[in-house]
Amino acid sequence: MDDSDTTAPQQAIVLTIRPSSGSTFTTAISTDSTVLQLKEKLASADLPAAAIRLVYSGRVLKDDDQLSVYSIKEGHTIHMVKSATNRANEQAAQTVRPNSSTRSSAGPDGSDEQAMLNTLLDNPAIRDMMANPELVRRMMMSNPQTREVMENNPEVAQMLNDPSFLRQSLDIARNPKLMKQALRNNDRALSNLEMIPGGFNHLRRMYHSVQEPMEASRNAPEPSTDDLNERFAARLNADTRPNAGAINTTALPNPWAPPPRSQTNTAGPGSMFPGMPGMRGFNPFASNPFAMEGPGGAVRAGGSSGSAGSGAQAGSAPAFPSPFAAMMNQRMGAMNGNSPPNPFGLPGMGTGEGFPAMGISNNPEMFQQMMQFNQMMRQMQQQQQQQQQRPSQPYSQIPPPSAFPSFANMFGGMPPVTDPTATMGTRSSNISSSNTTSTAAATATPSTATAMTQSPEERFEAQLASLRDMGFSDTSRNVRALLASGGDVNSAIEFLLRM
Amino acid sequence: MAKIPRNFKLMEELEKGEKGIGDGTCSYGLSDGDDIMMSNWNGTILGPGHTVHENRIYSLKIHCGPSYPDMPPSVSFLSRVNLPCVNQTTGEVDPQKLTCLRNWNRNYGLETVLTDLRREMASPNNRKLPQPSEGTMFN
Repeated sequence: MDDSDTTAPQQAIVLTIRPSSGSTFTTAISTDSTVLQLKEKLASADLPAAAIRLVYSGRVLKDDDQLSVYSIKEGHTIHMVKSATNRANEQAAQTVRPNSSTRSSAGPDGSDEQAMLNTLLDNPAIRDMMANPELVRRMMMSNPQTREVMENNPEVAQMLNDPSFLRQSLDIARNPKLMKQALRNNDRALSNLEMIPGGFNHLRRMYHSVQEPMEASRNAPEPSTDDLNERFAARLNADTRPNAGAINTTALPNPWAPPPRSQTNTAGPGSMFPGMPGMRGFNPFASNPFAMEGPGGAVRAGGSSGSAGSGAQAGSAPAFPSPFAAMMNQRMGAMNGNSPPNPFGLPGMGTGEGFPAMGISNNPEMFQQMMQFNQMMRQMQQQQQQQQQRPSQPYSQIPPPSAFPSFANMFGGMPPVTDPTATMGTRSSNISSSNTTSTAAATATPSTATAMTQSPEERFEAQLASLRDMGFSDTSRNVRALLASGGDVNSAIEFLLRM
Repeated sequence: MAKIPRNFKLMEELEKGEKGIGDGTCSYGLSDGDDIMMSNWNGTILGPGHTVHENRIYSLKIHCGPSYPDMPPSVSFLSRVNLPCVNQTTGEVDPQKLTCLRNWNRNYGLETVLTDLRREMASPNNRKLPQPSEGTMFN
């Protein structure tokens, strides 16, 4: 090598500066100027000299050195890197050695909250105050909610009265590492407690007697008003209040269903069932205006399975681009003309105006949940039909009226059944199914099977759409991920990220 | 193709290093400009973004033996870093654990080593590894 680096002082050279982001530029500087001078030259409003780090030929340039030390020559490139900011400082604080001799140039703004707490706690006035148990006690007692907790729990009172405990907790609060350790210990202790038989109950009691009132004291208590209760009920789709005197036979509200738009008058179903046995000719649902709306109602009204299938088709005719609707169409098509519809075939689907299934198809989790319900229902139906070995007397096998509400409850759990009319539809088709022989089960199973043989793109259309919205553009990978995750978007995302 | 002699290759690499290579995330240069054997080199790696290494600068020293580039250089970190391929007491990079050193090819260069190490930092397995605070050095 030559030795020009030692013999060329006072020489101005042009350097190429390459920032970590943005385009390169050149700057002229004399080789005997220091690195700090170069940094000051490069500094700008949003990048102070202290935040600049310069790298040349595999070395980080030190502020005090002259450029000649590094034998930087004309035309050479210096990399300019923005110094680690607050985030990196915090990370550094969290890692192995929090208080090592790292650069202090990054500024005092580490984690503001911790710093504030520290200055507050280090304030001698506060320290004195905290050291005075009487004062602390009085401060605690000035809060009526805290006082109440203390009165109810003498052990808590004792704890809060203990000055050494208070000092200890303040020390912990001052040291982030200790704080984390304390929190971890706390977590571990709690989980250990949970393991002990009866421990969970004890924890629950502790929660109710200590934590809850404590937290309640922080937030203004929200009174339980009728208005509030009503709002909650509406959120859970429970808009009718059962009669206090009568036995409540209405289906439990379905909390997953989208809220009904308009509340129509619901006919008390409880009154219908007592008359059921022997009422073959007279169909209570035929006189029910709601039953007519859905395909389920059409089954009863038409009385023949053929019209039921076509009714269902007509009902679900508007082609909704959800996999759910597609599946239902197919299922209805498969059934057309040979059997009464599967009672789980979503009578609600048919109601022309209300299309509650739309909401479900947008939500894959709900969709999955519904599939599970569907499965469960099918099993129950099969069991029911096994009981009905004598088709000549179909109605004698109908379970006693009291059994119906529970059935209806099960259906109430199905998301599409959102409003009373739809519930009636389910109910009526439920009865019609109990009227059939085991062929219904035989046909129901293959029809769902055809739904499952749809291409995954169709089955997972909604999930694919949401994945696309999230920026996963590779459809084939998305499909693979969805297949692997069984249609669950969240696990599919995890899968995609891992690929 | 004729074999490029060691010093020609290193001269080439030196010039590349001084002019700035690649996207500017790695840098290297001779640690002693007067060393006619060009054996000892410094390197830096700017930690890849969106990892724990973001905005950190790691310093390394690289030694190119007499049989370079037929044999890979020996590389060790000066800045402390927690990576599976780095010996945690000496900072040496285990040649068996870094792909480019294990499958060394004489067309590789110092830049290959540095970018490979940087890629290692950004790999899903390592990007969140807890790291020693910045500025600490291997002894």
